[in-house]
Amino acid sequence: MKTKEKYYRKNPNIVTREIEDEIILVPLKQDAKNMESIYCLSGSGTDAWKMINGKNSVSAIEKAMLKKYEVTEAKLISDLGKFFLKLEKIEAIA
Amino acid sequence: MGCFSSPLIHQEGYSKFSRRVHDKFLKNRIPVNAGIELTRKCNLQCVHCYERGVSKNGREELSFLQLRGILDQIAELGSLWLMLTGGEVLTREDFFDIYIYAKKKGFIISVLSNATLITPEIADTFKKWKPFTVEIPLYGADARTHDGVTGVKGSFDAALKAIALLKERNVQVNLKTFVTSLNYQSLKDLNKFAANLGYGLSLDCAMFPCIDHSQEPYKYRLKPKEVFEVLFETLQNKKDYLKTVKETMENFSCSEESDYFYNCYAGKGIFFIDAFGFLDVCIFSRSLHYDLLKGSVKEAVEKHFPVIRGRKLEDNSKCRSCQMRNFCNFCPAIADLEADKLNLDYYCETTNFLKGMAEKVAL
Repeated sequence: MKTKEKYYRKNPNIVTREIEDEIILVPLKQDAKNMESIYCLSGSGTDAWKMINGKNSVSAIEKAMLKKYEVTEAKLISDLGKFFLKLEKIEAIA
Repeated sequence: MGCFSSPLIHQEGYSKFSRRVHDKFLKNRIPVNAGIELTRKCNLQCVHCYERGVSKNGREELSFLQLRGILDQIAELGSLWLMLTGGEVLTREDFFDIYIYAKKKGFIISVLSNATLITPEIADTFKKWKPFTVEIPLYGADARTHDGVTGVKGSFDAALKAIALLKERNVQVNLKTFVTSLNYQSLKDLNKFAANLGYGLSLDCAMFPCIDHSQEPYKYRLKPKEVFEVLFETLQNKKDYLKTVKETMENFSCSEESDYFYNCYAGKGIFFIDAFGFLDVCIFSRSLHYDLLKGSVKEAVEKHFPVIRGRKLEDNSKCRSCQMRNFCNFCPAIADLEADKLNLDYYCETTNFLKGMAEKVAL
């Protein structure tokens, strides 16, 4: 399946916490020893994260973000691609 | 159109993240650390415990339903680190209902437990829902010393079994000890013992009166000289520490901040909720509490805490101009707990001891 047609779902073992103006990802199963790093989402990252629900395709998320933000299509697609890749790597989405 | 913030996700080392978030929250006066006492019940009777003989204020302990509401409010406020303490938390049959609910809210949780009630099943649940740490006190390297502090025979063996159960399951354990006159002499053995178990040991010797104002724990308080012997055991470089003390002493000057009773994180970086729903600025400061059953965490933080933190020292207080103030263990909570028996002598004697040592160090 092409990436743009993917419908990502969030890992239920990852909880997000909104602290002031940023969102962090808190894995439910990690302790101090394994919690060597924390993943923080920017404002735009938070918006993209909120749209991941198994019903919005990558392409639909791209379109919604393009409507909302003042950014070139190429920049958005590149950043969003890296974003999904990272989230997949840390098993926050599948 | 909104401003696109790139990158969308970034990875940050835990220590850096923790420092950054704490700094940010302190600036905005939102307590990022919350503590909840889940129960006053305990199966041990530690000599230094500040909760002995405390009445229930005529109320029942908070139910799971009430705690859920409070956890929702704390999460909404933005607090991230959560300490669950007692009494002994595992005396609550619904402990894991509360704990797992808090986990699902995304808190970074430390559980304080004497560990004696940890069974293989409980250890399995901790393995499945890992806490940030389980903090376990160990008062001696042998049963006689440890049980002498806890007042309960068999508590040492039970704690060791629990530590092994948690270790087998890779659940993070932090060992700590409270240094009293009963275990002070065997501290070196305890450090070695903890190291053999594969753990470090954090030490604490700041003794507090009971929250019913009894000064019974003071019977076991270390002498000033002993406090520093313990402190210097933990320091990499005693001389550097004493140099810092000397520099701070010499540069001390009264500022507007010196007028305030609270110069710590109480109510600014932390807050504490007791088993009956009373919210205070810290675990020991219990005299000006806010009743959460009649209000909200947000209201307490926004309206009640500034009043408490706005309290000023009395005009004739010798603490205001004391150049050792930054190294003194005396705090507003102790003043509240000692009530009408307030006696600064111990603290002055302790800081004077440190001052004497610092003055001998060449800068």
